[in-house]
Amino acid sequence: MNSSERKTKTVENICPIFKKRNKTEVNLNSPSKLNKFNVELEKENSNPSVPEFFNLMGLGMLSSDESSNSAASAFAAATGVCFGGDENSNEATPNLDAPKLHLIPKTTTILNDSITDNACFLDPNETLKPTNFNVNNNIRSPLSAIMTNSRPQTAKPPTMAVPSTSSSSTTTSSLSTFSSLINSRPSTSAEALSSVKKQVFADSGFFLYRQRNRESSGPDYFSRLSDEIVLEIFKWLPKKALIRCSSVCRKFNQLTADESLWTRLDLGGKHIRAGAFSHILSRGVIIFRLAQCEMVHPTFDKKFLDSYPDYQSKLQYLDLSMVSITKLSLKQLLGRCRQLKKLSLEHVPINDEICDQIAKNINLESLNLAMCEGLQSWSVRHLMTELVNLNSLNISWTWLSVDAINALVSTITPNLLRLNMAGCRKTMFDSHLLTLSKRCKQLLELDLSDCTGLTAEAMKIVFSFQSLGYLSLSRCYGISATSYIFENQFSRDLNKLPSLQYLDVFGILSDNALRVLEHSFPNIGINKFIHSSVARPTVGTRRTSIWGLRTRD
Amino acid sequence: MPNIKLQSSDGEIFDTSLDIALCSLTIKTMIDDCGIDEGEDTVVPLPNVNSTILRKVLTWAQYHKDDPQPTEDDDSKEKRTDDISSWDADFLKVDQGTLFELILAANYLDIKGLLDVTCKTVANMIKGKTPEEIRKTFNIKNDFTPAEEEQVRKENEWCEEK
Repeated sequence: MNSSERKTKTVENICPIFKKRNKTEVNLNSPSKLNKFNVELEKENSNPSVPEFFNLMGLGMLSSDESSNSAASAFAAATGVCFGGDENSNEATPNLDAPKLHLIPKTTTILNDSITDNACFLDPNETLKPTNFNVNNNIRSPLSAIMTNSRPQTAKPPTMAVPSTSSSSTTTSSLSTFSSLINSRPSTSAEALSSVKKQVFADSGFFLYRQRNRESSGPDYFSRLSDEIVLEIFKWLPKKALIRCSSVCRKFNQLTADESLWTRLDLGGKHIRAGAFSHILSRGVIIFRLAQCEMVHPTFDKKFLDSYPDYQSKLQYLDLSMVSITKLSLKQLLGRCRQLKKLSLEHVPINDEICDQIAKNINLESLNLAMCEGLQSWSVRHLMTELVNLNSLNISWTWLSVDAINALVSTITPNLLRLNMAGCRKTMFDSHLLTLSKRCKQLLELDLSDCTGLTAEAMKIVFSFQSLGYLSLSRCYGISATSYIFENQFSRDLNKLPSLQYLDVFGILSDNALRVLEHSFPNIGINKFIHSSVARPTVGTRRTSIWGLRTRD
Repeated sequence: MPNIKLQSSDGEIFDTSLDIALCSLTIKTMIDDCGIDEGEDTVVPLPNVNSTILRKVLTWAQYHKDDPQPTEDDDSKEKRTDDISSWDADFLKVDQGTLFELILAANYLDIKGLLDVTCKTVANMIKGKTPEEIRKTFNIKNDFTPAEEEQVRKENEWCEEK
């Protein structure tokens, strides 16, 4: 090994240690011409002496260094020391910005200059040949010891893998005094630390050799992997990281758009930029949570709408609960959906055009329109006629007119299993319930809360739903409390409904009456659910899945 | 369990217990297809794996030989990368070249557990980094034209946190 090779190796070995040292103050107090520069790394931007310092060293490029977000990293980049490296990185070469490469031609002359400076600094009286590279070996040894002592957790094992013999065997007599001086100091003391730092930073030629290494950057192992294997890696990345990866290079950009990576997407609560849907849906998202999003109109850019007039998304499960979106955008979005299986539009203003788009998803199994404004009887009839595969419908608190309820109960699919019609105040009557009971015989859940038009007669009709497991008649004030407690008919009917497990009658019965009811029907849970879960994508506090399907990575 | 001989690309023979070798579905298929019997002195050639990597793979397989067979990708399960065991984490404290060689070997030998843990390790190296940092970490060349880069940036500007 010749001396210049050894020097390079030594530099490589030491540099990574400095990664974590960006918070330390470095004083270049020395009797040499460098001593006028007091470099405090954290305030480096405000310190005009630093660019000067590097100009002096032939490194007049700091001010143009855009990629360095801190002064420390700028300093690091210029000196070839890598600061703030990533804990996770396995990199073999330090993080250096590509623009630094233009420094390389100057390396040799700078090196000679700086070695001369060093000679001055170390001991003006000593004679030191500029070509004597062993100076670095002498510095390295105590430095390593100190760095390890002060921050043992950050020192990576490979950085310390220096053959110890090389340093001792090549020690020149001119430096032995200096070397022993450093070694004799307590390695953990601040004094010793700063002393060594002075050496290291003053000896800038030491670091400039890293620039030469930079020329041959390490191999790009990703280029050796097949697309399938890269996707195996990408599948473990959250969406944010995937998006970042897409701007790394062409190959990454192409692979991060792979549909297998975009099956599920959760942008709940986010602010979505105009035109973004053109890019999002084209990735093949199937399960998409957008609850409480703010979507800026237009959701699709015009170019996309014009170029792909027939584009259909792959969306099957779409949670648009409580989104803020214009009706036109919503219509455009649903206009691209034909394969929906479950849809939630809870508390979103809608109109007939939007309902028309919904009705075109004939495979729709679950529809949540709770608290939607703008639901007209035409839409209700249209939806009910088209959506023959519906098994869960939540149409509560949509202020349905009598006509709309007529349409609903007379056209709804007989396949329906779960229905929430809560909040049809004074517009839903016993006759409606009778029609419904003749049509939907398989109902498992029925929520008729706040349907104040229902009377005691409704109680008898309810019991004709032979499969019913859940029934809510909360706040149906048209049904008096006595209907539940004192009428033998009720007891007989209830006993005819063996499937019933839960009965909610909030707001009707006094505590005493409730106890009587509980006592009479020990197998039925009374007042167990305040909120209906019919067709709702998320229930309770869990927000990581919709309709039981995971949305997060 | 009988032993089996595996030959690496550089000709080294590894005399390995069969149950360890069977972690690799590729080897398992080879054995099943060729019908290797006990006592037969057959050598399974593995031309895509060199001895250094094969040794590491076998070390991993030795440690994990009693693991339950990994199930096929369960799509409903969350994709976690923070569940790497400390043994695996130590085992994978290797240079990037070795890590990627292990991925290639795990893929070739069809060892799902090893492929997952190595890919997770690389995924963890990507997470939290800017595109520029990712390029630096993996020495990837930015081959976008400035116009393309701007286009990609635009396409990815979907949303911002509220």
